[in-house]
Amino acid sequence: MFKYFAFGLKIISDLDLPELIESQFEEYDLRITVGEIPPVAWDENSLHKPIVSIDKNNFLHKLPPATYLANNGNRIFISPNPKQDFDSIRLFLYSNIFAAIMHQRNYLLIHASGVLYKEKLHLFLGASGMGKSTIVAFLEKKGYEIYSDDVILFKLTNDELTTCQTYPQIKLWEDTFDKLGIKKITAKKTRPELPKFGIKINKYVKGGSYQLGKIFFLTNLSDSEQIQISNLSSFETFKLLHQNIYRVQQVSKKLESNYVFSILSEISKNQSFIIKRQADFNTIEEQMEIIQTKLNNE
Amino acid sequence: MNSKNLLWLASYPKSGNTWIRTFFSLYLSKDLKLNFENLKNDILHSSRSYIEENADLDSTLLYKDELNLIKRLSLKTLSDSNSNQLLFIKTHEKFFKLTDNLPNIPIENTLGIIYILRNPLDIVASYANHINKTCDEIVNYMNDPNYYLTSQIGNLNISLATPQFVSSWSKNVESWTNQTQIPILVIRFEDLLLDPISNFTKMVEFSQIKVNHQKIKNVLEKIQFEKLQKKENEEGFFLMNGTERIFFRNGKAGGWKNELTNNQVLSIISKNYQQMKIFEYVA
Repeated sequence: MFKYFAFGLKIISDLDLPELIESQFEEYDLRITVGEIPPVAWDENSLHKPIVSIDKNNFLHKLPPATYLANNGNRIFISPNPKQDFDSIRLFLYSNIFAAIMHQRNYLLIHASGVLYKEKLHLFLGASGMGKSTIVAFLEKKGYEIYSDDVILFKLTNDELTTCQTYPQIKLWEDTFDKLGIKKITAKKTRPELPKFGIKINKYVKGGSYQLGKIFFLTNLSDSEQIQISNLSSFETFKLLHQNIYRVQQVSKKLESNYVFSILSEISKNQSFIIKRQADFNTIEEQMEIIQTKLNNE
Repeated sequence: MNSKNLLWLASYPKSGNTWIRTFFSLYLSKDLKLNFENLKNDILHSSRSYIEENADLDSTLLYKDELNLIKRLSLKTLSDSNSNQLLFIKTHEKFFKLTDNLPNIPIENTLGIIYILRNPLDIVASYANHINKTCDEIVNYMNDPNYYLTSQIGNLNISLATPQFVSSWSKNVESWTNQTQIPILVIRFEDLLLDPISNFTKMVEFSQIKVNHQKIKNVLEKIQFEKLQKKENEEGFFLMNGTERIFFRNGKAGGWKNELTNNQVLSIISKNYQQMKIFEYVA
């Protein structure tokens, strides 16, 4: 049995999960079992689709590498498909099934990466391909501490917003390495036939919730070759945050809309910017200059 | 029981597909007000968003074969969960079989296909303008049976759209017009220009939408090519955001005579002759 810490949870697992942080503990929060998927007692509001079945406490996902069941926020069952490799099984476990577990534990997940600077957590949001991971990888190179890549978790308890991270890995597409000027030697493909590489985050701050700092929305909507940055109102921030909710279907089945509204409103109180660049241009250096200037401005 | 509510608008790129989408968008609207933003609500077969919403995953993590299977399943889910609504889906892909030997679209959920074709010689310059390539490059694409749009070779899935197996112009035409599993209405772009009222009426009837002749006339008045051009000129068009190029470029038949070299014309005709002959683009 393997023991890990990730997503703020103590995890025991049948499956070796080398991307997570090895840990020692007696009592666990989450158990991962490999084998048959047990029968599920679906509630009356359950939703069943060819790939996904979901209710308040269960999430069954039939994916190419395996069928997965996330149950009650504390159990994951994995039934691997024949001929599948464990890299693929782990990749979908991290990106989909952990999300379901965290929704079951009342977290709202936002598609965002985060760095720590001056004791605050600064967020970078944007759809896939907008450069969240690239920016985080670049900032790590510059000496910043990384909180989380791709997804950040939020929870509201007694009106207090808390944050939670995922696990210490950045995932980058093959074409990004040259842009960043970093070597691929230590990177490993996340799936055998997928040119997306996992890199261990070295400057990773484990655990803990942080007060939010600045929020940057990344887009490729610029009409000119110049990068543009502008301030956003709380209302605009709220709308963009809403567009960046991770795994919307799971959220709609598990979290109350009032609860989601409250979390997004709370995040929207922070100073936010939208960065517009053109899709075809490698603008990482210019973006970083702009971002670092904003981070340094009180 | 499957819903049969998917209506495909299939074509090779730059064949008039968007004009037809604009027609239906307006014909089905209450106020008959032309608004390009409404087209954003249409389902694009190539989009990652409906796949990710229905399958609840990051589609960029899938291999191409897996993605195609999940794409079809997601459309089935979309169809079943909107069973009372006719759903228009725009595609430039050819009709082909996936690794499970079944077609790339969910035929059990499909009401029909409107296939729009246009003289491939007229497509060349239009497509070249649209994706900022030379006419020679476009001729090569149109003659290539293995042509993909947003190909993302080796699963480098960094495009907002999924890979689209378009194939050559003639293979694309042949794949849809020769299939016998789904009802199909084939419309030539040139016939739409010559007799829009009768051809758009045929499309409305085929889609099983109530025909209102006066409304068809009113809509056609609003989507005259010059009016679309003017609107794009004033407001821009979302498919061309971030470029200085225009979407509604020419919209006429026969422009190729002033746009293509002899070699380009001969190349297109020699590689696509059979389908061009069937659809009366060559003698």
